[in-house]
Amino acid sequence: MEENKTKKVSRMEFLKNLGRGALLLFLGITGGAALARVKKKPAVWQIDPAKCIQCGRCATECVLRVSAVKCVHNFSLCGYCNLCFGFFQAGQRELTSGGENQLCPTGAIKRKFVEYPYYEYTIIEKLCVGCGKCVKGCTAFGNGSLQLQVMHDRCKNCNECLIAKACAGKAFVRIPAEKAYITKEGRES
Amino acid sequence: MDRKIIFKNGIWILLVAAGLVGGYFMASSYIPGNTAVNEVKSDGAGNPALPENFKYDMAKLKQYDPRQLLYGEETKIKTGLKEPFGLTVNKKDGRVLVVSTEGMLVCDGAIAGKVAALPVRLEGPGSVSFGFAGELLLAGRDRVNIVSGTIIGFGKKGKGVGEFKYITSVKANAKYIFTADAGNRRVCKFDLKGKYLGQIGRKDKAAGKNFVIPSPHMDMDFDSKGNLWVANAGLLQLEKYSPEGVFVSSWGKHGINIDEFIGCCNPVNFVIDGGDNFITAEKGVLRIKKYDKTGKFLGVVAPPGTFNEKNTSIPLAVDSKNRVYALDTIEKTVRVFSEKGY
Ligand code: SF4
Ligand code: SF4
Ligand code: SF4
Repeated sequence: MEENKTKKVSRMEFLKNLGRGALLLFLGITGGAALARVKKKPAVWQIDPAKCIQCGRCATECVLRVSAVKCVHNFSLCGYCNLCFGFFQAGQRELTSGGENQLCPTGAIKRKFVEYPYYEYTIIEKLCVGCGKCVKGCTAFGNGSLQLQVMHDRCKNCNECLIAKACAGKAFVRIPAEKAYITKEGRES
Repeated sequence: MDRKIIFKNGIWILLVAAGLVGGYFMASSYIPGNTAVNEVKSDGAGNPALPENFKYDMAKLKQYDPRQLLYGEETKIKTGLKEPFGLTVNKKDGRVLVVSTEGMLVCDGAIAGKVAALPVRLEGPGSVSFGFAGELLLAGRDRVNIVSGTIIGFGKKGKGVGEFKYITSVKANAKYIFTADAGNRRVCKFDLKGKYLGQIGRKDKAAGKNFVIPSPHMDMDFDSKGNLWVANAGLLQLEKYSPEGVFVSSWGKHGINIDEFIGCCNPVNFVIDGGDNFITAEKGVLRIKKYDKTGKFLGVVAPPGTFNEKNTSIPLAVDSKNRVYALDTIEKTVRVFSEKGY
């Protein structure tokens, strides 16, 4: 007898197959997503110093009472000028560490004599509020060795960083946690 | 096995695979928190305003008295070069040369000219000038070329004798060629054929001088008596050396006032005109000013706001009519300024 090649699929069978297909697709998607999660490296928020325009919002927008953003000194670029515009108020005649001569509103920069005419400037991290005032002075008049960075021992790595949302320079980026900082030379480190 | 069963199972496997791939890409493209960021709100829209003592007022530093403006802009020349770095004027024939690593623009005074090929290949930006006998001194980052009928080249990368790290100026008088090397923070002296004769700078104990150069800016020029002037930018001073290269004197003071040099390292460029006046260019607050031969402030050539703010140096030259040529390396133009009333 000739086989019936155009055998009709019953409605029941069709629905069954559809259900089975949907289930398998769902399983596939879930499995794929899980695999991607396992493979995906954890990411953190960071500031691209080349984009930061020192708008000041790092100091005011962070969910923490004192911002997780701090100033850091990239000594490979500079950090030894006698007349440092990141340290001194513009127009300062007396190049001494007197409070009235200093630019930082919280006194978070330490000036240490090295040898004439070189001084070393270090940031006292716990005093820094991340306002970026020193970074602006250094970027405009110096060699740009001062820069702002999100400090990961403080940052909560919020799902939606509030500073990133308000950042006037669009400088906030997600980068792999194992290279959590960005230097001015453009390298993650 | 029945073909139909193989076919059916194949479809199921394909569905799972499609799901896996789709799910993987969906999950990898999702970055938590990366949605709806960078939406800039104005301070009026709820951002707490920054207290006054946290603000840095650049506008204040750019103020000047318009009565101090001595020059007006005569013309602007488009160079057509991608990364121009050097500018010079041949005072004998009025030719203006703008140099980049890919070619040079030759102008007849302030009249725009054509881009020509370089007589010699340059590795990285350096400097350009005309020597005492009209020879062209063309320097790349670490090599100097003397171009006349023939080309003599000397120097290579390094910090040893006769080596360079970052040449920022090359100038010659009747007897010597001097090179300013910001990378090695020294000025070196050569004879007119490129033979090393000595150096002025950090290791020169005899001269007792140190160049404080925190950034790649170190310019030089000769006055009418043949003395060599060097910008010791980290000390915010211009230093005078005899034609033989012995330190004589210096002038310049730091500060934000118009007659002072601002920032950590200025002036980044300068040139001496026919009347032995100094024309200086500063970074930070980009401005060009004029001082007499004793260092007394005379007035402003180009006030703050004239140049693209991204410039970190403004190479300068003057012609026999004391017109000032200034290279805007970002806009890739030469701005020509002449004294008002001339
Ligand atoms: S000026 Fe602002 S950013 Fe700089 S050290 Fe002080 S508090 Fe920190
Ligand atoms: S992620 Fe959160 S804690 Fe970290 S800098 Fe942004 S707002 Fe502050
Ligand atoms: S909010 Fe953005 S532009 Fe403003 S200081 Fe912070 S990183 Fe820089």
